[in-house]
Amino acid sequence: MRLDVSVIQAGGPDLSWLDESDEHTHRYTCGSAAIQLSKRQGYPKTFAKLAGSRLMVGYGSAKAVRRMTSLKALAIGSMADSLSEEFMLAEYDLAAGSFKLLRDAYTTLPLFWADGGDRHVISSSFPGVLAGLPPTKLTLNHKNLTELLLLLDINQETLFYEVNLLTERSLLKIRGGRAKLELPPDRPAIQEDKTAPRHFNQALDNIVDQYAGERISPKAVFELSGGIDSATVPGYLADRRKIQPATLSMLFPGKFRTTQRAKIKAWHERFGGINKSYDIQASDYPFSRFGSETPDLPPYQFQEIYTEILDKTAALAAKQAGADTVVTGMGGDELFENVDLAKDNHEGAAEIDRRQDSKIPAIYTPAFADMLAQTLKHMDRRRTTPIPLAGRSALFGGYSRNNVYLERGLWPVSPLSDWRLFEFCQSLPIKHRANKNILRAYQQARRFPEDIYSAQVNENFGDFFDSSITSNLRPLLANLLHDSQLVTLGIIQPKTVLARFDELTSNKKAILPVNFFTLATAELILSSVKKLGFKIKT
Amino acid sequence: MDTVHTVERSEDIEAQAEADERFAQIVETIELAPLSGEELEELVKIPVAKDAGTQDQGYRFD
Repeated sequence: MRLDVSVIQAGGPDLSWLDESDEHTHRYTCGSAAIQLSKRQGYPKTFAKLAGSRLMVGYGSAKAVRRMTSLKALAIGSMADSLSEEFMLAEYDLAAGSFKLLRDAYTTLPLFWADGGDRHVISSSFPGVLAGLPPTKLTLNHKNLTELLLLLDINQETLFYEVNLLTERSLLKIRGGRAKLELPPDRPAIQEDKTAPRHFNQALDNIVDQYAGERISPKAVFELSGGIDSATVPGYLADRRKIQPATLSMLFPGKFRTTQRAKIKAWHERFGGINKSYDIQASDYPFSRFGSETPDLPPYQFQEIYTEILDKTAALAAKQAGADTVVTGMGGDELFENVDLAKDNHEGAAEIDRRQDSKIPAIYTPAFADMLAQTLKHMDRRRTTPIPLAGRSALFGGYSRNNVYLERGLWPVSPLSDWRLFEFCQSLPIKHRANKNILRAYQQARRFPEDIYSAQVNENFGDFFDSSITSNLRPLLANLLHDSQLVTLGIIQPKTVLARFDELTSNKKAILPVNFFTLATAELILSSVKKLGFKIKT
Repeated sequence: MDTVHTVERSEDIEAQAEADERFAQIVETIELAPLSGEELEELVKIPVAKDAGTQDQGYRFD
């Protein structure tokens, strides 16, 4: 599914929308203002409703759609009360010259928006939003650049000041050529030790039952990695609802493939159903779609980790099962992680202090340390973005991941990411959260295969990604360094970077492989933006 | 993959109740050895972040 919007103050005597929708796309234009949204008939259902100069488009559950399409414009904010629903609602009123876009707490469809001076552009795709802007200047966001290169947590910003993410429960308003963002309040505080561990199974079952009622369609497929998280929901549904789960697995090369296969086999022997697996190849990652060339369209950061692998796995489902939904295990880590939601929200004084202590990898020049110091000077010591309802990292992971599935027509559904379950689990005593002890107890009680819930056998998928940074990437890296934005900024020197890279690939691991991944990612984004015709103001 | 289907929901109350009972018993046995604050913090960090040295948006294949 994809959304693209161009918001331009159209004006003129004729304020009527031209409806050019077809069976695949809701498509409306008025002068140079345009909105188009891919259609979905299953969950979530998309809709478009035209009333005079006013157009409402969006998606949601059948209930949410009924409610949204019967609303008057002023009630747009009231959808924020529907926090347990997935939805997106856009209203474009040509007569009033206003545009509003409200999104839910789940953010399954990523939304990027850009202020391009004479126009505003919104797209579910990062390259889509850039492609909608006039190729003039983009301003490099130094703070986001340091975050990408140092693997610091990010917020709603991107590498360019003009382009931002529309995060959970946000309302974007555009009127008179100006954009205004209304952010939601902080999520309510969560008290540790408040919830009773003995009620965990009911809390989890209730959420999955609710999802099974509408969000998990009969044509759903289930990710099954062999790990504890993704095994949970299809296992419960196989027992409770007697479904025959169709599962999808990505099998990593090397030693993990053997243990993954064994766990997946054991899981299916217990719960039935069928499995389709994709054997990940070493050539699937990283930068496999780019060769040694600059891509035509800029990837969103970290999307590269998933694209090839998820896409090949999704193809198994989309081609053979007619599947329209993929149920993932995302969110399982965040349920039990140890966070202080108020402090660890990646902003404010605590975050500035943490960044001041950052260790800078030896591929960067002293100018990079200066850049980091400058960004810290401009960070607010008070937190300025709200604490999200759900686990923050699961939400942000979705911005990099979900489009791969969505482009294959698969709607990602992640019951373990649900904010209500997150709230319950974060309030459990630490001994139950540690090592996911309570989820292991749940699976043991439900007689899952012991290898799945046993704490003794864990695959570390990070090993695969780290070991994928090999000398094969040298031509790409050398090419990127040849016309490098980071060199222009003075934060790297090609000779030093290549020397460190050669050390790494000959097993002198003074530098983490991921440092080269992030450096190459930043260069790829910047160089492909230049290829689109943009000048980057640094 | 064409075999994906659902059937009428079976409440299967007895099996559900048995699983709930087993869960109640197992959950009572969950204990942690005494740990320092740092050890506790390390224990419940997001595993992918800890293992791979990546950030939250890093390797997520659950």
